[in-house]
Amino acid sequence: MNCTSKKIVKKFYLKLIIVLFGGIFFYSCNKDVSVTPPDSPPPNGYVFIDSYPSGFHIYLDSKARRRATPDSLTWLSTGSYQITLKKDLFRDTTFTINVVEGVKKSFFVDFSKNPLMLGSINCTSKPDKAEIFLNDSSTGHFTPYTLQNVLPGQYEIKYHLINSLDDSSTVTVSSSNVSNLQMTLVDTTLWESFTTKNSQIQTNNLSCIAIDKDNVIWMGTYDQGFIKYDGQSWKEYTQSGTVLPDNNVSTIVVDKNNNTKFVGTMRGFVTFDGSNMHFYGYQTSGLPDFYVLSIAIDKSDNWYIGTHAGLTKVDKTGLWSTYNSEMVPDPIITSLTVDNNNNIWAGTSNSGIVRITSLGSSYTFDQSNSQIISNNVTAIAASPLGEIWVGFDKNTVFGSGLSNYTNSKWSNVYTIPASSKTNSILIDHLNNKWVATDQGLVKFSAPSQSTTTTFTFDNTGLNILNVTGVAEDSYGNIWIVTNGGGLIKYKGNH
Amino acid sequence: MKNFSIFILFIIAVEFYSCDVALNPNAPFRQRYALTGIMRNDTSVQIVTLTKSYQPSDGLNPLTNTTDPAVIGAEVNMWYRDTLYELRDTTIARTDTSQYKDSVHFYYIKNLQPQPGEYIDIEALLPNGLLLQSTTQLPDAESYGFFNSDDDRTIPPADGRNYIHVGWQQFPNILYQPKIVITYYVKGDTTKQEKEVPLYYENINGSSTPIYPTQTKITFVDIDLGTINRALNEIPQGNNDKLQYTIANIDVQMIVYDETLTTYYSSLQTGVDAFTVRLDQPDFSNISGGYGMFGSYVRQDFYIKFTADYLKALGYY
Repeated sequence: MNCTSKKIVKKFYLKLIIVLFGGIFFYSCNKDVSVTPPDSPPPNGYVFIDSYPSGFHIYLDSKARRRATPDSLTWLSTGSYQITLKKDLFRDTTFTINVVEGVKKSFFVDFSKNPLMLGSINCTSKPDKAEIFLNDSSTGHFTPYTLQNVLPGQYEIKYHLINSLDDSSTVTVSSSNVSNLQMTLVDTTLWESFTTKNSQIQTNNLSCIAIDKDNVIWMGTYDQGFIKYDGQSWKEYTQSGTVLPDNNVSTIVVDKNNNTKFVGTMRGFVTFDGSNMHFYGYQTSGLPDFYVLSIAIDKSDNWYIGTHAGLTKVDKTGLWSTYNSEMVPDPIITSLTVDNNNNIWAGTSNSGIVRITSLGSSYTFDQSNSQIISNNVTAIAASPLGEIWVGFDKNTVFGSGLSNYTNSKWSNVYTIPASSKTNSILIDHLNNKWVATDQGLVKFSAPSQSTTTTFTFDNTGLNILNVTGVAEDSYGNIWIVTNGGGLIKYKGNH
Repeated sequence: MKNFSIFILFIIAVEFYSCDVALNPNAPFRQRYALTGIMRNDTSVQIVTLTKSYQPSDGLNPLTNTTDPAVIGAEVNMWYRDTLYELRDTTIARTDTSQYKDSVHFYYIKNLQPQPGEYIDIEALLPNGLLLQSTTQLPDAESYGFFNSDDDRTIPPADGRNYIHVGWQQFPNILYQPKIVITYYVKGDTTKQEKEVPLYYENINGSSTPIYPTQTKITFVDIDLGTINRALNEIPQGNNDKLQYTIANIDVQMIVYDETLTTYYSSLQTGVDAFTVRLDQPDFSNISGGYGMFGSYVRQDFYIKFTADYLKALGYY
């Protein structure tokens, strides 16, 4: 090989080596690099939802959120969503919104503009033509009238009528519904009501009543002792500061001389002359039991105390004597009255009625020998004409009614509310009978007694359901005590 | 030729130097979030935790992080029977021995006692806008009919067998966790006590070792009366006066896992032994938008009475 050929070969190898190393250089540094894509930011779609009225719960695609209008939903992805707004009393409202990330959107729903969302109130009253107030503002309308297009919610509706007590009630209105409000307004020409809301009376839970010759009202209560009302002021006598043994008063009686008030309780009784109160208890007096249920004073000023353990007489000398079981066959004396002949009539819990004459003899009228409705007597009264009227506990067998003893014969009347218990009977100066029952007050009008009127909430507007006692003042007003409804005065008996 | 050799050496040196790249085993840190909650039918208190990933200060050892990775300030909602339940966040004092020193953060609700077969949806909206979502369905293991009607109800069995048999309803792809206990009272104490009963005893390294039931897909257990007797005899713990104890019954406490928990426990049990390092350890999560697990279980109890004669023979009467 000549020198030129050698140079050519040498150059060739030199180029080959350069290309080879260059190739190795680039190939050896060629690495695969794996790169995880960056995290995408959370979606930032934003929707603000407001409404009138506010406070609607916001549901997103049928799921409740912790949001109520006005409020916003954030971090939403681009897309369509179903929004539902819900609120008590309103119909649900659903609509679709389109959300675009990066764009803030607002929605406002005015429910007052949608008649389907509104309700109405049908206002009626007895008597009608009462002015209607909505939340203390006069509507300018009079009953009967239907207030239309009312936003769902609760409203205070008041009726105002001349010669009637204003009355009000809360009405709940819901979408597409008619709410009915019917109120019987108290006729103030006939009725007057005294409750803790409108007077100084200390409780509405009254158990019994008596009226003295000065027309002072004496009322027993279930929880506050007894109350005196003289037409102007109220005075309460309780266990606190007096010798009254219990605040649950079972009976109250005023003697004919107007000197002494007798107050029976579950723990004995007291006499009260207006200044001094004297306590008579079990074992501290001749009282045969703690529980005093009934008291009567005869024309000779003897006291008769009916208890859970017999009938006791206290004569004018202060001598105590309890009638034995031959005289009075039932120990539980629920009621007492004195007739024109000074006979004592005692109602018993299980043995009917016992008559004790002024001469000391006794006779028991029960279902075995007389046509009386029940042996479970709860009230008894004597009329000036010599009639005896007797009321009973609830009687599901023979029905509720009264038994009447006239001219030595018993007869029954059943025109009092079914399944009612008679709590007290008053015979007024017109010989009308007023029967206090746990289902209203019933009046048997003289002279035939065949005409009866039942006074309840429906026809008086008064809470006259559970009547516990009834009495008459010298003006002929009828005073009614109730358990829960306070004291009621009826002026329509003159 | 000399120049050529120098050139070759230069090229080789450049080649080695240019390929010298520093190797870092850590990938770039990215924040991740986890939601964990197990809904139960045996309580009205349900608890959910939210945590986030963290970067150890030295880059490798997770124990160097002493900041609790709990996520606070999230809005956690659950829906059950179309009703929204808003979870509240709270803290309690830490009693564990972890590297964290501050209180334990969690979310809870006190008035949700889900029933078998029902669904619960959960959403956790994190303060940064990330949304974690999941759903669980409680196993449909209603109390009535879950245990077989022909299961033994008295010890000893009436047919004279020397074991008791308890079987239960089979669900597809569901794990069960039975626990068998004797319930009893110490006289003068109204607190109910429990003595766990093993399935059997096994001789391991010369000692009799109790073997307790674990998660299983088998739908029955048979327990030897000898095992029960041994557990009964161990109750006094050295006190020979057995009359001081009132034996109530055997309670088979059954936990029925939902599919999520079943999958999770199954993933833990796939070929793990003390000598194997798994490079493909399964990551299990049913949380959309993050990690973690939202599951549920149902607990049902089956009671087996002892006859008076049986207890009398063991000195408990």
